[in-house]
Amino acid sequence: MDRESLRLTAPAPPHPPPQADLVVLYREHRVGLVRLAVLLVGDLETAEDVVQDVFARLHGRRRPPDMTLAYLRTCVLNGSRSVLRRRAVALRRTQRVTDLADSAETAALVGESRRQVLLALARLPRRQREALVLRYYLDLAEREIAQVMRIGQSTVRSTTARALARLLRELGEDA
Amino acid sequence: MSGIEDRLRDAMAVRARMVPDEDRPLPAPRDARRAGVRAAAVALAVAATAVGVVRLSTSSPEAREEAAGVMTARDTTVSDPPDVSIYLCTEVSAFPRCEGGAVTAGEKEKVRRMLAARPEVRKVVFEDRRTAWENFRRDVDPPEQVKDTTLENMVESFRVWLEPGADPASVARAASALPGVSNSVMEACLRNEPETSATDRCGFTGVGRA
Repeated sequence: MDRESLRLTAPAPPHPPPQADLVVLYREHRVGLVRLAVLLVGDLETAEDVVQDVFARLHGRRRPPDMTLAYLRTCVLNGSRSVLRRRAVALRRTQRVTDLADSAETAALVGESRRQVLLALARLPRRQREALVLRYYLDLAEREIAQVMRIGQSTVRSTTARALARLLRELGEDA
Repeated sequence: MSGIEDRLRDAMAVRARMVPDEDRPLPAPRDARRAGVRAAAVALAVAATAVGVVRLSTSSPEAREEAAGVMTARDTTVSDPPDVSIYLCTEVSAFPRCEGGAVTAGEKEKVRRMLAARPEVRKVVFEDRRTAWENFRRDVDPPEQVKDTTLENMVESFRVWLEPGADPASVARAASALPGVSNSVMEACLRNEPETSATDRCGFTGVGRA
């Protein structure tokens, strides 16, 4: 390219998503994503941090052209995983983090029966918890769960089945 | 199985509802690598452009955060492209309008003043050669061109953002009439017609020095 045409064409950007999209997505989906995160990590403060971090990172760099809600949910899942890994390391536990870090007030507000369910959810392996939250809180179809978790649909099915079976054992439910 | 599923749905819904629906500002960009470039670009824009034309100005934390969120010469070309680009003569400019050498400080100041006087101009950012080089390196495809291009090939420019509905042609034409300007380009026009033959339609070449 000669210098003249270089000068004329170099600065043209290749159809980037406008900044406005991120602001709109943030406004529309922030609370929903925090709610998703709170079910994955157990406490509100951590959940807020996870979601803020997702948007701060997206704000700072080129964004993927297909920045959808599913993509944002995947980011929240990844962020939640990181947080829980770090928390487990910090607590020097070899077993999974079982405590809901939620306040006593929250526990009182949900009631004992629900608290048991949420505790059992927190004790699940990460993937099993994710599958249950995406299905029974977000009501996503199997295909959508597979998309957000980046796994195959058959894996979604088997993971969900194992998770439910485990909860049944822990909570002593009748079939 | 429906018992456990219902309990799950219920417990999660109740817990989730406890998260209040509050408004919060979008967090500032988080990218340690870019923080340095952003700060440098802000300093440059403040030093180089007219007051009242550029939004990146005060040193208060809110303004800095807004500035970091709004734009720099680097980030803006990606997320919010300028409406008009005004390119300045260098020592090695191929444009016959650039006979007589590189743009002078006085000529740059005249461009700034012209832009500041126009109410349709919303924002101006001065892009130095280093920033132009980094943008080029990041954006240009294929990468082979990058090897052949050096800092000397880069030019300084003013990136101009206009109020919605403003006519970029009048700003671009006015800029091209000033000495030290090699040419000006209407960016939206260029994006719609990437063929090099469109450069005539999408830009104005400078009239040179009298």
